[in-house]
Amino acid sequence: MWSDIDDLMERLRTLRRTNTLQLEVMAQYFDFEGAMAAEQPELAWRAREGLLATGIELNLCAVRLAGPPLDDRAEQICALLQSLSQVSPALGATAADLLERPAPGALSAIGQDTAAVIAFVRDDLGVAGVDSRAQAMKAWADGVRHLRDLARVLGLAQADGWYLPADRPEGHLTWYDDVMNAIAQLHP
Amino acid sequence: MSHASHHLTAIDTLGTDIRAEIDAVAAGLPATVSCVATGSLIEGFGNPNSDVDLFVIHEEGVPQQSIAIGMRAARYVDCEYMSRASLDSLAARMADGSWASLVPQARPDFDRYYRLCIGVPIRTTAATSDTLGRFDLDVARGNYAWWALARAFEHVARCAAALALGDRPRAGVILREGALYQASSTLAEEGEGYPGLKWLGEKAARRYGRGSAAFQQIVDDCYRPEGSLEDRLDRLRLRVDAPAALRAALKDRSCALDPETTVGLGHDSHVLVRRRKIAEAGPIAAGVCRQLATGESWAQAVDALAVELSLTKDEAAVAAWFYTADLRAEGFLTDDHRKAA
Repeated sequence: MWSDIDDLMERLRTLRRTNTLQLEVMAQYFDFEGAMAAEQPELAWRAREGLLATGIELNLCAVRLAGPPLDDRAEQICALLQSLSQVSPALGATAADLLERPAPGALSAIGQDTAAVIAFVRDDLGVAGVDSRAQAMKAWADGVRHLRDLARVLGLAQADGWYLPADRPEGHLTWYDDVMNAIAQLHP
Repeated sequence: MSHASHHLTAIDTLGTDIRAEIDAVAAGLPATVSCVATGSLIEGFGNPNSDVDLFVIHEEGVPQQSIAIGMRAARYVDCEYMSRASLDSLAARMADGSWASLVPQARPDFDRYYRLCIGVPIRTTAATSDTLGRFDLDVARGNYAWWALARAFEHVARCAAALALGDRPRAGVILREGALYQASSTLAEEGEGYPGLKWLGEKAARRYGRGSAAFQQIVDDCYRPEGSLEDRLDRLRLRVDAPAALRAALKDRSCALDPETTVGLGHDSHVLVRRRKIAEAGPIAAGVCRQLATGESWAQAVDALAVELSLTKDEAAVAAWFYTADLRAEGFLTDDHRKAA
């Protein structure tokens, strides 16, 4: 329940940022899984770091403690670690430890370290929709639908043409159905 | 085969599903709108899940949307909309090529410029073809090499400042990113200029061969560095060989406290007030503002910071400029008119 217009706008900003971060989680999954398949360990390690940073910010957004995003990646990560440590020193310390870890040489070990990051984000930070690429895609799509529903109720203008549908007969599916179809293809 | 011609033929090596995606987007565009395929797939770094990157260029006016996205099982389609005028402006800025013009530019500018250089025209108007003809891959590589070097130098300065303040976690994060910028600069000088730090391994592998001594040398200090933070910082300092012209461009920047800004300094917080705005300054910005508030010049304030934190004057100047960026953007600090006079 929102009490006044300032609260509502703040809540909308947070929802919008959360949805951007959900898209980021999805993009990191594409990077990570593609890199593992193509044996690109450095790209996989960078995606692991991105999953961790994005997971921390999603946690902070959920408790409305995320600051404005910073353009500089290092400063952004430092700000996230600092905020998380203020909320929970133990979580902050674990996150810092995961972040500072040197990349292992073996691709399989990178996979294990990334699984540890995902478990931390899911179990310790309590972020939903991070367990798999399919989950990340669904979390993002649900977030977009929620935001667009809110915008429609509030009478806010919405851009058209933001979604590029897969090749299909015209007019049969919504953009949301299209995304769900793509997810279904991941787990036929 | 030259690198440029490689990009033109790269589109022929893409899967039929990807080519169909590209053609479907292009087919839906009005006749006056151009479409260029680009990104890691065109560069040759792609993997089974790489996104399909498309640039849609409007001939006149400003596009009504900035991006569009399409989800597929294996990948997603990422479409960016832009105006031809913005590309003319970008080409002109990049053609300047001086340190003074390159340093303030943002990463997305280098990213977009490079991607347009390697972009494969799917369909273009005559005017947009002319514009794209002004995008030069050698310029892209050279400018990115310089800019990444400047960013590496900036990270060295920020890391040194963090260590001086006893903030070791911050120093570690900054140092790791700085090492990636330095390595990216070196690779760009050697022809691997695709922007984006995440592609460092693939660029080094293509240039030196994965697993070679040269590959390990450039990649290991970024991903599995050894030694203390101080040792690693010293190593990075040695590798970041900033030319005199860059140092001059960085030191030449200055600003002053806006006459309406008042500085309140406490034990734990440093607050600046200007009209109805309040800003909390971090330790570096607070140190500089404290000096400026006593009537000292920017150069004097930077010198005092260098002494206080045992930094070189160049590093103090760079760290001070970086950590006062928000204060400049919000008007607490303004152009140094005394210097101009």
